[in-house]
Amino acid sequence: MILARFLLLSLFLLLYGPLQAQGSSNNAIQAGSELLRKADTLENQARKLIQQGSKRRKDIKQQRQTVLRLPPGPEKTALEQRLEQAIAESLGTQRDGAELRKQAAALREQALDHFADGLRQQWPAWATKRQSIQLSDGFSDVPALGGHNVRMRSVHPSKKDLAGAPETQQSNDMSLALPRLSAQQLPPQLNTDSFTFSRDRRFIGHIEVLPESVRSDDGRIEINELHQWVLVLSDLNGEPVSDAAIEFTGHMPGHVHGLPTQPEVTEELAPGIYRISGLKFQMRGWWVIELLVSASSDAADQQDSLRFNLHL
Amino acid sequence: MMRWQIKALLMVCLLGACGKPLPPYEHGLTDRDIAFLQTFSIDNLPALPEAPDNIYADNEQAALLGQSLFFDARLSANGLVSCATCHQPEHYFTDGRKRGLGLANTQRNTMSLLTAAWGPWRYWDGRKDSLWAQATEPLEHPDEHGFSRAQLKALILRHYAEPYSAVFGSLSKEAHDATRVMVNVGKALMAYQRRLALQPSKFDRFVAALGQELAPAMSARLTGSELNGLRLFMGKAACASCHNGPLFSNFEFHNIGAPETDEAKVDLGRYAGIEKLRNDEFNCLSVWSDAPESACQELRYLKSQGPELVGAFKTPSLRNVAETSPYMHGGQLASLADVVDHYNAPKPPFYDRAQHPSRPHFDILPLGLSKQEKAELVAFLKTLTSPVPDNDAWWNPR
Ligand code: HEC
Ligand code: HEC
Repeated sequence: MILARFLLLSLFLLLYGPLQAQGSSNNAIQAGSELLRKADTLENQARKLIQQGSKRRKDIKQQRQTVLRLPPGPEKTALEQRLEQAIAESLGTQRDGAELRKQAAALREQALDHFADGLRQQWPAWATKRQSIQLSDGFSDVPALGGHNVRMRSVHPSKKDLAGAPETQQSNDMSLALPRLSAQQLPPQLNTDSFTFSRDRRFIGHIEVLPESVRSDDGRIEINELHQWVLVLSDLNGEPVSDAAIEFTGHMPGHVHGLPTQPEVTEELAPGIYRISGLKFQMRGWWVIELLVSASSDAADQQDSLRFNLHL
Repeated sequence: MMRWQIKALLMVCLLGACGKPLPPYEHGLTDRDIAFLQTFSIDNLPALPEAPDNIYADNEQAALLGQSLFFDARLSANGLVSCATCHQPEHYFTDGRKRGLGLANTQRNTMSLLTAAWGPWRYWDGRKDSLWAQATEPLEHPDEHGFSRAQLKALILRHYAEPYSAVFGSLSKEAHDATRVMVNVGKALMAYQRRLALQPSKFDRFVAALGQELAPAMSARLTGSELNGLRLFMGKAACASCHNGPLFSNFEFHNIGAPETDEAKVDLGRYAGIEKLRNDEFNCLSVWSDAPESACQELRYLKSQGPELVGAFKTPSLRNVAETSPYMHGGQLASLADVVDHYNAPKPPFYDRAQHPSRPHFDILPLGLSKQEKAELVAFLKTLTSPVPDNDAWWNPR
């Protein structure tokens, strides 16, 4: 029986090994990679167009100064008209750039979907959820509990003028008005995906609560309680990124303060699977988690970054 | 006669009826509101936190010994100070003073002990990470018991040899040096304090009834102003962002700009507490702790930097708060009305370049509450008082 399994496995490796060596460990990841490449091409084109447009606008501005100084007359009027037209064209170029950029973003999202599927197939034990970390009490969707200050800082007692009260906002099925963080303007559609591409698009990362570190069965966390996460770190070919150096930071946008603890990567559980320990959240609201990643082969000062949003 | 009538009328009014027929009870809370409020109910208090650093934490003999020691004034330099001198059961284990008074005045306001078993930190600045480590400090502090370890050991030998040995082993053993004895006294005091339980307050009974879709009993019906106060607490006044969960605390540290007790000698709060905690002879990682290193997670992942630590203090539980005046780490505010006035129009923290390592972070916003709303908030806070139990043997000396 065991021998049979062993043979099967060898056969599998024989057949699929070469494919893996080529780069992609499964179809979803391959599809994701292709889409991402397309998205990057579009993004480059977009950037060029936008740059072109803005350079052109700068030139036009200069020309306009010259035209302004001309004495009034038909020549000036004609030049002015030409400038108007040029402005319209440059705006068009920028618009095209913006449109391409939107398409690139959409493609990147599709690519992320494929990657997420691929990674979930590849690491079914570690990557199961698509939604980032949530509180167990089920009130994560309440529009930002917890009023909290940022605008004002401590002052010398001679300065006393303070102004502005927090606004409140009601959620549909609750009559309790909950404070909207006056400084925390939650984006209307906060992206709380548990998968993300790194800033330099060298890696794809996924975070998830380590189920045995929390009380609830569904991997949700309690406020004010220590728990652990796993980070799945892969390159864009679906290969695990081992021995990476990872720094952990977290903060609430608009607040001066960060996490109440200093979480750390404490163990590589399997290649590319890292345990992050010492996590705790003392407030509901919008948190941004940033993981600074250096692969073992990177130069000393090379650091890429993975950003995740949580809405607790 | 006249007097009696007024009294009777008052009684009826207290019951909410004032002679008129009772209107149907309208609270206006949705199911989801109620589910949310349940996260604040004492019924949802999790089990006592595990205490791997004290293997006697749930030992009943140790708790009984701790109870005797808690009320015993012989554990002091002048024979007059016990833990209960400052932590008085009838005042929910506080003393009604601005600062505690033992052999001398302490620096800070006496904290209630009824919720002290929860949360990772003890004291306003969190400079201790367990109840047993905490208990050693007042015993030795010259302003409190002013006792020495040697004196303590002698006292235990003379008066507590038997119950002590029954829990910790024979005192004659070499291992029981004066420090070990003090640590064990601390562990017994911890076991005792873990037995102090709270009965449901009016707020808890209100939420429990609504949760079961029952009309709350008369005595558990929040009045209109208490209900408005509850809405303010959870909403516009944003109190629940820090005072949350069944104990109305997130157990973390914030600077809410409570006035400095002495501007010439500022209290750095958590900033200074962290250093003390790390160097504490009795912390979770010390040889006196029963915990393996791996169990000292809070200490391991301790946040030790950031402007938010400067002048920050532990969010206190608001359970029984109406009975534990004065308020804040230095007893700066005399009444709940003063507290609400402070939150309503806070003065940002005092900042002195010469004394502060960095500008203190400030955690609250002015609220713009009306006079009526302020009174409602206070009315709500008063619903968090649990009765002083008259049949709980742990609350008083046996
Ligand atoms: C002289 C008055 C006094 C005496 C005596 C005293 N305490 Fe306290 N207690 C205080 C004060 C004041 C604080 C807050 C001190 C601070 O934060 O710096 C406090 C804080 C505490 C806390 C922290 C509670 C929390 O929520 O963090 C505990 C626990 C405690 N005391 C237990 C004891 C025990 C046990 C004894 C006896 C061994 C004792 N105290 C003796 C005044 C006293
Ligand atoms: C940013 C977190 C935060 C918010 C928001 C907050 N509190 Fe507090 N509260 C604290 C902290 C921290 C302390 C202790 C401060 C100190 O001693 O310097 C405290 C102390 C108190 C005390 C004194 C308790 C005692 O035993 O001394 C009361 C009462 C209180 N808060 C009520 C409220 C009310 C009512 C609101 C809403 C208007 C509120 N708090 C909002 C953090 C907060």
